[in-house]
Amino acid sequence: MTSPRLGADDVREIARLARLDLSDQEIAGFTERLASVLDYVSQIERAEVGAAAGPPEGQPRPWRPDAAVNPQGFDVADRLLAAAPARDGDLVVVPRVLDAE
Amino acid sequence: MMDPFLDTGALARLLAAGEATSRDLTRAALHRAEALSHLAAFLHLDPEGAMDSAAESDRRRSRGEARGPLDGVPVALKDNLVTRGLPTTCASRILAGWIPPYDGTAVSRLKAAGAVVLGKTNLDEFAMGSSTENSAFGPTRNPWDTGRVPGGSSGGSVAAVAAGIVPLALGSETGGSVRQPAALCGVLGLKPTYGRISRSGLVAFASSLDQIGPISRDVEGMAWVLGAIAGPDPLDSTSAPAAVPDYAAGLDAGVAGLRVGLPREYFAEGLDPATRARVETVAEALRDAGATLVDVSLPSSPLGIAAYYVIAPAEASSNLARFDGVRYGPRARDPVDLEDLYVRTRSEGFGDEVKRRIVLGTFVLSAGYQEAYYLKAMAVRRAISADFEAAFSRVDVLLTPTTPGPAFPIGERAGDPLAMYLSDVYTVSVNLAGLPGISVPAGLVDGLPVGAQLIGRAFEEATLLRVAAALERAMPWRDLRPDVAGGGGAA
Amino acid sequence: MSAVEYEVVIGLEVHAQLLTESKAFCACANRYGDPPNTHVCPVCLGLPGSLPVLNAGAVERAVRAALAFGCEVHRESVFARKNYFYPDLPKGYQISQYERPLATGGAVPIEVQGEVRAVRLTRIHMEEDAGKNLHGADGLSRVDFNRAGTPLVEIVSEPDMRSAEEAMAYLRSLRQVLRWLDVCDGNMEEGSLRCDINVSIRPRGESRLGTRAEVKNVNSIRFVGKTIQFEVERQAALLARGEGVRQETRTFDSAKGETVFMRAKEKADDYRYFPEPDLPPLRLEEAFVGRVAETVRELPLAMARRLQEELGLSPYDAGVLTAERDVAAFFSAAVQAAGPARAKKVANWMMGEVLRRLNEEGRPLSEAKMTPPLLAELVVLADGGQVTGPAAKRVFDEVWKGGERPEAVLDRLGLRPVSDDAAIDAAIRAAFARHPEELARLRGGEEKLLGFFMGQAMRETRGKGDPKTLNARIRALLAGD
Repeated sequence: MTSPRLGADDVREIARLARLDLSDQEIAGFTERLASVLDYVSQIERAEVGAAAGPPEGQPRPWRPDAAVNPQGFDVADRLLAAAPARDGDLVVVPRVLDAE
Repeated sequence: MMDPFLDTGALARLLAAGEATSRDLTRAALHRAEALSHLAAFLHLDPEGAMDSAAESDRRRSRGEARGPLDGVPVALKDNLVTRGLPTTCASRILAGWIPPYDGTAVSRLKAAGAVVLGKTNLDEFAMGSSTENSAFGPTRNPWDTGRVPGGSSGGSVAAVAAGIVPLALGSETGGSVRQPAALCGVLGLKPTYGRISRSGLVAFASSLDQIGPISRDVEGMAWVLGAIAGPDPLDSTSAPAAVPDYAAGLDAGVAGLRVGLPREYFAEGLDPATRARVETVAEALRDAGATLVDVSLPSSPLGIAAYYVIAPAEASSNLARFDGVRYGPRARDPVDLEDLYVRTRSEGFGDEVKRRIVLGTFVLSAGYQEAYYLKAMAVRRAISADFEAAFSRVDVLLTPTTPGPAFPIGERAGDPLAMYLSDVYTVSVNLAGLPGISVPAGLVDGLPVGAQLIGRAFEEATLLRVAAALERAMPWRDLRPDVAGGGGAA
Repeated sequence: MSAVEYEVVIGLEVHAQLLTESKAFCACANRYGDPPNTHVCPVCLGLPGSLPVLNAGAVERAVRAALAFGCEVHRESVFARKNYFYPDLPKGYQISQYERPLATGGAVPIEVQGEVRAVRLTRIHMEEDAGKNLHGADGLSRVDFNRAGTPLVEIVSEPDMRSAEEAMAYLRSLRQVLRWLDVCDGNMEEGSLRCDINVSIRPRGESRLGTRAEVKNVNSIRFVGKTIQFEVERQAALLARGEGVRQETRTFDSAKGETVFMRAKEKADDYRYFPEPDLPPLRLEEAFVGRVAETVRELPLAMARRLQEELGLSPYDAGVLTAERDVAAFFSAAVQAAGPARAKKVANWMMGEVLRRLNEEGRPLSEAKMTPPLLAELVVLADGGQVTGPAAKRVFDEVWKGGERPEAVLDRLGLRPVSDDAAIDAAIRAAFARHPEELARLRGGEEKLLGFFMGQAMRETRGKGDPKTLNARIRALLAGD
């Protein structure tokens, strides 16, 4: 497989998926730079390596015991919420969500 | 006046002998950090917190309750390590003003060992870069030549150690972000085995590659800090259950009989001849100390950068999705709707290189391309691991250059991502394989430091430290000191 | 115009919240109904630097469900990230399982019109729940993250169901087993069990599947039935008009009893799944799976069958007594204590008294003072004639109220049956004396008044009279008077 040429429209669409807005000028610059990186990266396609399997093997790790221990408690919940840029009481506020996931 | 370039071992002995207090050391470090502010090594200093910790350390010591050699020693932390009550920005506008409510595991362990946190150091935004130029708050400068980059992304931590502000610092690695700047600034930089140090509290760039790494002027200090922060952590499922040895114990054992492999792919085209010569000097020093040099091959390593620039951005594109302006960090003004909130918050908050990598990562994971890129890169990654495994059946450690050459001028590679990426050509494979690697100073090329990299088997950091200690004795680098303008007599 | 006869094809995706103490990947409490944003921490809020650590209790419950439905439980499965942006999704991705789920295959037994069949499962995988967006009329949404990170299993069926009735039976059976095994409380109203329905229709005899609509978050079994009925009609009407059914996501409006368009599924959403690098593959040791299997013995449908075959219970009684695990366990323990020969009697007490009273009082069995040994004792006493029917009810009342032993109640209230002839005779004479007219008619040969005097005399003994003795003494007194 040859490396796909990323056009400006592709870059715009991918940026949309990532919730990034790029100006036309940025799009042009990104397209060119990404193309050179993808060209370079495409050498892995030619590499003779084994078939892709799962992630590397590791030792089994212990799981967390099922206990509700939040030593930080509500106090920390308050501090966590304090970092939210917009709040209404104990709730975090965002512009209205249209359709429910 | 105290010599600012004293290393951790020397400072620990001064503290133990009562010849200096932690407050003395901390005050001196704070003064020097201020005096050397033109290096932009720090993003935030915490004078009050540091002096309080130093005073506590001194009280412990006076009661005979010092916690070990690091108690009272000033340290610097890369600003992608989460610190309770201290800003943690990752050098990004998207985290401006965020004050974390918790300490990461390595940070809390370092504090528990008594180390005094001086402040948070500069980095490439979200650790994405090899020069510390991609910081939203301006580039860090190389103490050896302020017109040059210190390397990156842990450039701030490395510059702080190299400039004699602190003897120890923590950085983080994803593809060489500790070893590469350590080489370019003439200090020691360690990338431990993946899983050796908990990643809890390290803001993720690429989760399967990230690892916290210490930066030090002496091997002994490196051994202490690694011992203090390594080990399993119930907050990180990828932290390894392996026991933590006493890393300082075997440092004097020497390298007699050690088999040192020189992978020929790492000495090929692209390596600056003068840098190559310095690394060969290191090889000779090891041979003179009783080690055997062995020619080996790591045939897949040349594909390392390519695989890395698929896997790391892929994971990053997902890891950075949480920066959405909903729960923390700044939010774009007056969003007209939810999409607008997301898009403007992220577009205003992230810098160009971060955006580039998010786009690249999103692309390589997207439907139709995942197989050609992500899955293939994972296969290359396994091939690279297999190469190392084969090599380590014949040798105990590998010796390579850390970088292709010395530090480059600020701005030189800013417009050419690929050229920038290639400065990690000798380090990324180690991250891909999850192995430990250390960069040791290898001397100067035209007045600029370069480094030699030692790579070990998984969880054999002790071997790397033993070899580094042998080199420290054979070719002492304590005398390698940058002439830092303006930093002379503050302490 | 000849009406085409359509066949409906239904597959269900059920999300079940696991009954754990804590969340899937952090130690926050897994609790419904508390004030907003009180069960949150750096992990479930997706703070920078936080990492997930898997909850063993969640794994255990997920494996239990998989074993219960006879799935193949994979000794290695892989967590993956499903990437999308949403305010209730703190990390910008959901930790789920994708290419390598926890379990595949298996089936859920359903009973429709007395016939038992199996609905095949595609897979069961583990994932985390999102928080909750509360939509305001003021143009804003408010987010509560208490639910974020709650452990879930997603149970995906094959498109094996052919009627609303079957789909409802499937959901009932699934819910019953999940509750039975303490995997999920099955509360659809509170959202601990949620159901997405894939519905399509095709002309009867056609083997290809029609284009399906997905109806999200239907929150009661009844609504599942209504959803399917509505969809069948809607889709048939579209086809009748010559319009195709579009693949789309819909939602059920319970007020109108209709499904409503939500969004089109023109392009598959690009969730960019990839293996979650923060979690190693989920490896299950044989010993662990074996231990979990120990907790999955007899499932309700099998138990109901056994109760009919071994103990002779009616299908209805067997169904009621196995509807909930605690009831079934109570019944089993009581039968064991009272002896299998008295199983039907125990069942009668369970159905007639225990369940009826719980229902009246709106309390769970766990709060009852009546225990299996106490019920068994009462059944044995009554069966042995040591307490008469009416007195037994009084004893039950006392035990129900205070948890006292039936023997002790008998003594305390003096309810032991009266069988000495003198006392019985006195009671009978009193009854005769009070009802001379009836006595005359009985004497005149009106035999049915024997029962009347049995009752009257029993009342005189305050229910304690032994019926056999009573009967014999009435006859004796009539004869020898």
